[in-house]
Amino acid sequence: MLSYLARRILLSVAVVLTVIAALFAMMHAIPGDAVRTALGPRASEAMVEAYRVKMGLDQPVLVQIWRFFSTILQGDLGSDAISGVPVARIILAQLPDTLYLVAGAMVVAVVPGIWLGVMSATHRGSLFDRVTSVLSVSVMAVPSFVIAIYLLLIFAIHLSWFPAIGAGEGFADRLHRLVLPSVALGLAWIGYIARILRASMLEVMGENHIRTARAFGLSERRIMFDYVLRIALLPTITVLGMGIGQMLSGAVFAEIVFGRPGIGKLVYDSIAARNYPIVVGTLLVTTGFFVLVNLIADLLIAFLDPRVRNVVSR
Amino acid sequence: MTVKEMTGVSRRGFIASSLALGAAGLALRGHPALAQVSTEGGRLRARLYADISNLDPAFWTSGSDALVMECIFAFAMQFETGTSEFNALPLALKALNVIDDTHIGFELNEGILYSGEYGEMTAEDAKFSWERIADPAVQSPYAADWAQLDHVEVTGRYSGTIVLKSPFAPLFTTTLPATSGIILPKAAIEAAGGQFSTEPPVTSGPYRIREWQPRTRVVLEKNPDFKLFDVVFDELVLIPIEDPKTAELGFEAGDLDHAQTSISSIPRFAAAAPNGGRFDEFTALNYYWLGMNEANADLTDQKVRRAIQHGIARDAVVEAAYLGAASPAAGIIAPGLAGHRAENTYNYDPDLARSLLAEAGVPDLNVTLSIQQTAEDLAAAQIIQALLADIGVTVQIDQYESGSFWSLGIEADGDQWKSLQLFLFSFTMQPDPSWATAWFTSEQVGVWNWQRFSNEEFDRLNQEASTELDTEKRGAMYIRMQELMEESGDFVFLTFEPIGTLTAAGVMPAMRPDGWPILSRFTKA
Amino acid sequence: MSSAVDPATAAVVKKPRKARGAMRRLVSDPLGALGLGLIVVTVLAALAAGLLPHDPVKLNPMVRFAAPGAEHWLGTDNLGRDLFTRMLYGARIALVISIGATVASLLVGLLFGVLAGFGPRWLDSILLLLMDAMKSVPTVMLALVLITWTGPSLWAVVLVVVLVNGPTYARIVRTQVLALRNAEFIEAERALGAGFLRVASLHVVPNIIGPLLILAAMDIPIVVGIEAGLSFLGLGVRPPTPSWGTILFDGFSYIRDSIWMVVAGGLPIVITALGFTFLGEALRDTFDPKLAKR
Repeated sequence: MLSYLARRILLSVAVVLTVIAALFAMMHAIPGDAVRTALGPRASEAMVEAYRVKMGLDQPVLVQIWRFFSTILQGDLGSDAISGVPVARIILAQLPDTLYLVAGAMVVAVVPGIWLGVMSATHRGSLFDRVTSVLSVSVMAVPSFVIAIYLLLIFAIHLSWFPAIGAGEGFADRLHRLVLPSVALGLAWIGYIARILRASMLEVMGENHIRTARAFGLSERRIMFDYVLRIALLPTITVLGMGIGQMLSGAVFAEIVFGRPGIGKLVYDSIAARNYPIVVGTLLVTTGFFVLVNLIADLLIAFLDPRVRNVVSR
Repeated sequence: MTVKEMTGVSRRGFIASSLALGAAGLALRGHPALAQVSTEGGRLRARLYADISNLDPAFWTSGSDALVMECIFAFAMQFETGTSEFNALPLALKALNVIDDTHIGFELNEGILYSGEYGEMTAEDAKFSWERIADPAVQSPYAADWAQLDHVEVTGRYSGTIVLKSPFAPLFTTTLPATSGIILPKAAIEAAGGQFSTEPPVTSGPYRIREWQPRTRVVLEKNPDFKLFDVVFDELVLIPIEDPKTAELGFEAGDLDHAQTSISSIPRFAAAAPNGGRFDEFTALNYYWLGMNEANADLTDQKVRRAIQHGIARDAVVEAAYLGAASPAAGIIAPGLAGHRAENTYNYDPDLARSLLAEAGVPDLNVTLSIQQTAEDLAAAQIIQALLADIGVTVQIDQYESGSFWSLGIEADGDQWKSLQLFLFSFTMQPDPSWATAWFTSEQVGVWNWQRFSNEEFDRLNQEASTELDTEKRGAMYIRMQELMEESGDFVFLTFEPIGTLTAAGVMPAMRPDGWPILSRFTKA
Repeated sequence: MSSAVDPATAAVVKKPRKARGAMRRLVSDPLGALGLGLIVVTVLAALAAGLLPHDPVKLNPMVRFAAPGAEHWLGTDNLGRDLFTRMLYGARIALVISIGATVASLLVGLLFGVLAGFGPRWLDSILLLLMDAMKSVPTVMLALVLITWTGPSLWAVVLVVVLVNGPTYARIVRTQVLALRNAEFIEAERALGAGFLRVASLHVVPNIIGPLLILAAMDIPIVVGIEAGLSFLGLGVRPPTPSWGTILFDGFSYIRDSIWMVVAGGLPIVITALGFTFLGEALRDTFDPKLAKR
């Protein structure tokens, strides 16, 4: 178990480092940079050069990467190429809005997803099951940015039920503005969760210990919740772990369409401005977040599922 | 970050600001839009088209910076609002006295207090601040605003004389009434290490910064020590929103009380402003044109460039891009400024275009048109594509996000300038014609002169016009310069971008003639 | 862009059962039939695009933002172009890109999967790490960085798809290769001097291609979404080429002026996505014994 843990963590770190090194190198091959942007048109070449030196942009890429990694290891993400504000501060200011969005999307996905999954599994073959299965597949297929635009058109513009843009202030206002983008991001995952849960419940229900429990005369309800669901929920954890990555991706669109601040918008804007410190910092944070969530999901499953646990410790 | 945009008047920028760019895609060309207001509690919520990035008068970068600086610093002079002509009035200055062409006496109002322990604004501070920007050692990108400054002589606690090396027309139009005229105490700048960025060590204006959350909001609160004019709103909340279409949605949803709209929405809002608010339209100074890189192998023949000029029906391009909200321009100097040009020297003539191409021996020309990813550029580019197809020129449209776009013609950024052909560009302007022509000199080739237009007469006139104080003579020089640009075949002047603003019921905006809001002067209606 | 999920993938990868009458069963599944029907509609639309009276790139600003009517069935866009025509032409781009990019991803997946499976241990580890790394970056962010580098084009879109989907396929192939690698008949062949390319093409590919194709069919909506999403951001096709993504971008820009551009750009994405997803589901149910039993 311990070596599994160690290997898993090591792999995660290696993945993050690989990603950052690759992105960092790639961005240095991109034409255009933030220096000219920062200094404006009247800057002389001498000034531009001096600024590049100050930012370390005159160094070979490998040297820059080395510096970058060594400062990161000291917990420093560097400074915004233009305003000089620490990158960590900028990212921290944007992170909460994206996390709220992802959390909102999770709620949108998980609550109906679990309900539909349980109901389908317990009413296998019924009309409800069949309709749910078609709907699940349907919502899974549609890209979230298309959903976002339609939600904006229908609910914000035509019906005016929800505000069109911004993240809002105060709890109620924020929540109100979170609804549409969360639905846009989470809708597809209702389908994924319902399907996975239904499948895994059916599988668990066919296992021996459940039949045994039934034979002992435990109530159906108790069997469902205490025995079946507990185990059957595990695969949905994996799905949600993967889902975080897709949601972060979708967040770029959701934040653009709904005019929200956030990490997705930040990375989009920063790439356009060639603000490398922010791009690299943001990608480090998102990739790290994604890898971390999946690490936790895997460990959680290894810990909770007796079957996996046995395999793992072997 | 930083988005840039071409906004009206941002100073330095024109481009620069625009350059900066950051922003992104959808919204790239935003405008300084600003504002929104919610009247309760004396709070005015305004939209910024980009987050602030630097508030130092010697180093600021975007129009948003300038907008915030106008709230937190007492400008030396400030443009009058609500008028159709630019009229700069003294603000921190009490009076200006033109002694001769190169000596301008000034007197400061007494009792303007800085924040903190920095006391009162004095002539020594003016000397320090203005000379600081002019000082080559400081390397301010704005040094040209004080290009002719010899020195500032202090003659009293509140009075002094600006001594110029030669006459300098932009002094009263774009230097003193803008960021380069800002007066700050030496002690504060030195305490900050010689310069600052987003955390000013000192303020002197109608508002001071209470809180800045990067990319989320800037909150300003009224400065009780400010006495130069009455300030109505207790609090300004400035929210960065790059995309004007997004801001429109926000205004309509009641989230914004004052916002600049996108140009293509002007007709719709002019017909009916939402929520009982008001809609105002302004002619901005920004100029929008199609440029051709004469150094590109396919375009070196002037006949080819002139053919393309004659093949583009400018009114059709402008109509389609802006949905009828703008009209074609004959140059780069907006109406109301010396040097504005009413007529072109040529007309749309596809037959002539075809015969020019035949003469040049290029019956099948393929060119690329580089644009930014905005709805308006995209529409304009597609109309141009269709028009040029009609004269036998095949156009491929290349869209770029701002970071790539702004380095396309810059030699220092690589070799891509060689393959640059046609491009749509828009520069912001200051209310002085010298700001329009400065970018097209031979010196600017490969910097901002992406056409690589180079003409001796033009360069000479550009030099002379900035020291010519006779408005009429000056205007004639600028008109001649635009003719030279046009005759080169490198330019197709398209339009001056109009600016539309929405303001909520209950708020009275205070706008310069070019649609630039002076937020500290907004009042309740 | 939503995307496939590993458990689903895992399910598909069971060995295919060469079922007789599979096609018949496929069409008798109502969902499969519907999926097939939607795809046929999309393909026909792409083919029929050229037959329409309007030119998809012909501008006519005088009739911009027209509502649907006899002349313009879905109305016109901000430049007065016929939206119905543009929508059908958009189907060509969507189909060509999604199928082309998917084939490219499959080839890349096969190549790297076989390399990882047959290659030395260190190569396997490096490839695995790269695949994991690739999947850890949110798709849109990866695409943004990549396309800023390459410049916007259809090829760049294909590249993004290959980078996003290729690693998934490579992993599946690798797993299959590892399973076969030590099989006696393979060892015998290799002992006789067969190169691994030969072994791969004779034994690995035939074994894996069925499930891979099903999986690929189910991934097509993702690819359509990637193409449309990138075109929406201005990183895909060049104007005036009609793509559903660029139509959506125009529609979003002028959402207050006309809703029909959003309809013309979004609806076909939904239809195509549903078609391929339904078909993929039905294929899986048909060919996967375990899931088909349910």
